[in-house]
Amino acid sequence: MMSNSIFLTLHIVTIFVSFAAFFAATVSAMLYLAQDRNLKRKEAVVLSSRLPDLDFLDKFNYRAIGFGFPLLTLGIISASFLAKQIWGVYWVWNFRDSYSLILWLIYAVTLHVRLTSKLRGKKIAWLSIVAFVVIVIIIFAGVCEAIK
Amino acid sequence: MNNLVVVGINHRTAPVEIREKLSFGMHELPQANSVLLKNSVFIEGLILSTCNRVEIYAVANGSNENYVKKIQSFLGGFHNLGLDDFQNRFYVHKGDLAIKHLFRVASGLDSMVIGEAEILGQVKRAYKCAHVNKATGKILNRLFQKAFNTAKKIRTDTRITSGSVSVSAVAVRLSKKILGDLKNKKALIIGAGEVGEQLALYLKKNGIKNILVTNRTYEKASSLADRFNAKAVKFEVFRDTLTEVDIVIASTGAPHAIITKKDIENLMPRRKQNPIFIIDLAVPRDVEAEVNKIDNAYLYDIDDLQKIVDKNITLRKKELDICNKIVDAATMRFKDWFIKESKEDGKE
Repeated sequence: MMSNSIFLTLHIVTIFVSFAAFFAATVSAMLYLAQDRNLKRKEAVVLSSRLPDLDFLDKFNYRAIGFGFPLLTLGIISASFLAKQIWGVYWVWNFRDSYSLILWLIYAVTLHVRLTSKLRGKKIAWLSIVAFVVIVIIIFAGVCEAIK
Repeated sequence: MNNLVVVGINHRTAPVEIREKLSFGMHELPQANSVLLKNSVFIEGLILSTCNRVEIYAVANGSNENYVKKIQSFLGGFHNLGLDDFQNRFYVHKGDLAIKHLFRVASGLDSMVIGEAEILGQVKRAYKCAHVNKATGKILNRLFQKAFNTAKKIRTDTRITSGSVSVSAVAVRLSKKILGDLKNKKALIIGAGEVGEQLALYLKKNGIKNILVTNRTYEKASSLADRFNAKAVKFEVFRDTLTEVDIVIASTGAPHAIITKKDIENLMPRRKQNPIFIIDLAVPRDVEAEVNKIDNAYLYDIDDLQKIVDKNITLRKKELDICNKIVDAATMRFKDWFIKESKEDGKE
């Protein structure tokens, strides 16, 4: 029981903090896309707006994901230990767990292409927004389960 | 309240040849302030001297109506000039018009480039100098404090100072919006023309240390490079440097594009997708317009920059109405205080 609660706490804390980091990454990705659009369209508003510069937004997004990803990994691992203790198996292929894996994969790919400089800027921003949609789906699924 | 007066010349009333003759260096101000106040007609005085204006603010003692002449002869005397030639260059504002004038000057509304912020610092320095030399008193102290407040209010409440109004300034601000801090960034200038040089100098002022210059005639590139501590690159190999530079300024006289979409498409993977900002100042253009469609590549030509400049100028003009209202209100408030103060002084 004791170890149960350790895994549960670890799971809750890591997932919560990683989702917060991913949320920050998503906000910066959206701001990046807005700023990029203004710059590409050559709008005068680009100079009067208070949006941060592209370099800052790109790095912020990258660092926030880089911070959240290990926590997400830890969160998923602790969840599987928790599952083992409660249900006797490490992984249940239910809706939420599958999406968690998809989420992990998207962020893994995002970090990989960013680290290897294959993609940068706009496409990374879109990837992190897609990932956040998955987060929203996971949270929604969690809420639905709780209501049931 | 006609004993508060400003006498001056500015960029609208006198060309630089005259302004420079009447201007005061910072080191001359303490002496000039005391010479001005030696004149028993004045109880307070302040000299504002910038490259665009020379103005004397003064509070005269009582009803002596000759004080405008006195200020002018002070200017002539100090600079050893006969003033007959530029008598008609001077403007004189008294009472509330003088108050209003200062508020407009401090807020940049009277400047050549409307809304520029540099003037406020210059007014502050002029005030500080006069204050330290005890040339200002109750009235000018309060007047200038109110001028600073008004300038601040105009800057925060209106958009008069927002938006750059020169092509170089717009280009530099765009660079910062794309690349962030420019300190460790590298720029390449293609073509040793005058516009490109101006922009490069402006970039340098804004922190860029690393600049490369290339030109079809190598000698021209190297002489330009020498002038601002840059490195000359042979024209045949300038494309190789595109992998390492962050800003490209193109201003050659080439009849067709020297940088194509294909060039940049091939370049981006080699640049590891690092953003590149290309400023095309050439007519006909040096860079294919399609380059702007490539991710992480941003291309602005001279018309794009000019359009932003024009928009900013229009924006500033629109804000003028609001600014004038703020100035009028501040002038009224100061006038009320001034009249009340004068009455109280009269009673004493």
